[in-house]
Amino acid sequence: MFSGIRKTRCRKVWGMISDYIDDLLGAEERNEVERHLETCSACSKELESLRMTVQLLRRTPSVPVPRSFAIREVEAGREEVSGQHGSGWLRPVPAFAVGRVSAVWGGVCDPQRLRWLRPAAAFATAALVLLLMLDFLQVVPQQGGIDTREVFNESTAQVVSTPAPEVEWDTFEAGGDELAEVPPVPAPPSQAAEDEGKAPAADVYFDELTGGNDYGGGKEIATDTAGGWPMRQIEIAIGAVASILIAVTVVTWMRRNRLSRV
Amino acid sequence: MRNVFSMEEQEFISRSQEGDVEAFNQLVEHYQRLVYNLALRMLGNADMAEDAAQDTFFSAYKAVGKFRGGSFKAWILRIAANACHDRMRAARRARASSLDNLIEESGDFIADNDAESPEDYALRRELGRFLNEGLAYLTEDQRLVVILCDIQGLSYEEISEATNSSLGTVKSRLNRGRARLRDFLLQRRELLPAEFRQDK
Repeated sequence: MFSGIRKTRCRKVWGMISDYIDDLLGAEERNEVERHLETCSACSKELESLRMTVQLLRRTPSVPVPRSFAIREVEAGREEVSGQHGSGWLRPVPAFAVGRVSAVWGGVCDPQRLRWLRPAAAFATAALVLLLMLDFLQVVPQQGGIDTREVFNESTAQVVSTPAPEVEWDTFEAGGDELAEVPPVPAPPSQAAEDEGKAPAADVYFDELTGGNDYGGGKEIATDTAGGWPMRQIEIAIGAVASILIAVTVVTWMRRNRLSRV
Repeated sequence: MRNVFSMEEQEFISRSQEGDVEAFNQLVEHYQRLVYNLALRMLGNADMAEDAAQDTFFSAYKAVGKFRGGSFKAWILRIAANACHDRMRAARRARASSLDNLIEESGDFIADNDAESPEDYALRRELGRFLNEGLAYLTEDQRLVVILCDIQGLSYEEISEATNSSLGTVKSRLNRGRARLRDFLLQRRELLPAEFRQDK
C-alpha cells in the first residue's frame, strides 16, 4: 500500500522534474518536490543523474560556422538551394552559372525536383536498346521476308555485278515507298539484255527505286526509307535523348548522393 | 551588443520583407551560428549541416514576407528544424547513411579559441563527439527539444513556438529525452569526464 502511494508521488515528481532542474517551479511545487526528494533516495539519484546530463549538455561547445550563409544577389531569386553549397566536385560551380541555369530552368533542374528523371532515362534507354535489338535482328527494315538493307549495303557497282537470282516478278512493284516488296537482288544488265522484256536493267531498277535521285549510297536509301519510317534518324534521336537523360540522371544522382554522403 | 541588435532586428526584418537582401544578410549574420549548430547537432554531420543551414536561410528569405511578428529567433529555428528534418528524410530515403556513420565523420569542433590548450581542445572535441552519439540515441523530436533547451538555452515558450508544439508536449519530450540521454551516458560512464564519472 505504501509502495503504491510512493510510486504515485514519484510519478507526480517526475512530471515536474524538468521544471525543477530548470528552476521554473513555483514555491509551493518546489517545496513539494524537495520534501519528496528528502525521503526518496531513488528519486534523488535519478535527479542527480539527470542534472549531470543537463550540465554535460550545457557544456557542449558552440561550433563556429565554416563559412558565411549570406544570400548572394544572384541567388536571391532562386526558389531553393540544394547541393551546390557543400563540398564535393560540383561545389565550385560559379554563381553566375548557377543563376543562369536557374533562370533558364526555373528550378526544374533542382535535384530535389528531378524525380521524373530516373524513370524517363530508364524508358529512353529501354527504347534505345529495343530499337537496336530490332535493328540487329533486322526485324524493322525487313518486311515481306526480304532485307532491303542487305541488298543496298552493297555498293551500286556490286549490285550490278551480282548474278541475278531467280526473281519472283509477280511480287515486284518498283517505285513508291514500298521498298519492302522489292525483290532481293535486281537482275544485272547483261542478263537483262539477254532476257529482254522480262527484267529491267539494274540502273533502271535503281532509278525507279530512288525516283532518279542520287543518294550516293545504298545504305542510306534502305535505312532511311525502310518500311516508310526514317529508322536511322529515329535511332539517332532516341540515342541522343537517352544519352542526355542518362547524363543528367547521373549528375543529379551524384549531387543527391553528395547531400546524403556519409 | 545583443540589445542593440534586438532594437535593429525589427528594422532588418521590415527591410527584408521589402526585398532588401543586405538587410536580410544582417539577420543571417546574427543567427547563422545558432542555425548551423542546431543543424550540426541534429544531423551529426558537418557537410549536411552546412547544406541545411543554407537551405534554412534561403527558405527564410523566401518566406520572410509572411513573418507576422513574434520571436524571429524561434521562427528561423523552426525553419531550420524543418530543413534538418528534410535532410534526414532524404538521407534515410537514399539509405546511404545512418546517424552513427554521420557522427564518425562529423568534422566539427574546430578550435574556436586561440588561447585553448591542445589538451582542452582534445577534451572538448571528445566530449562533443560523445554527446553527438548520445543525441543520436534520441528520437528526432526529443533531440530537437533537448538541443534547443539544454544546448542552445531557449525558453520553453520559445521551444514551443519553434517546434509548433504545446508547452506540455515540450516538457514531455524534454523529460523523456533527458532521461534517455542519461541512460545512454550511464551505459558509457567510463567515457564521461572525470567530474561526471564519480557522481554515479
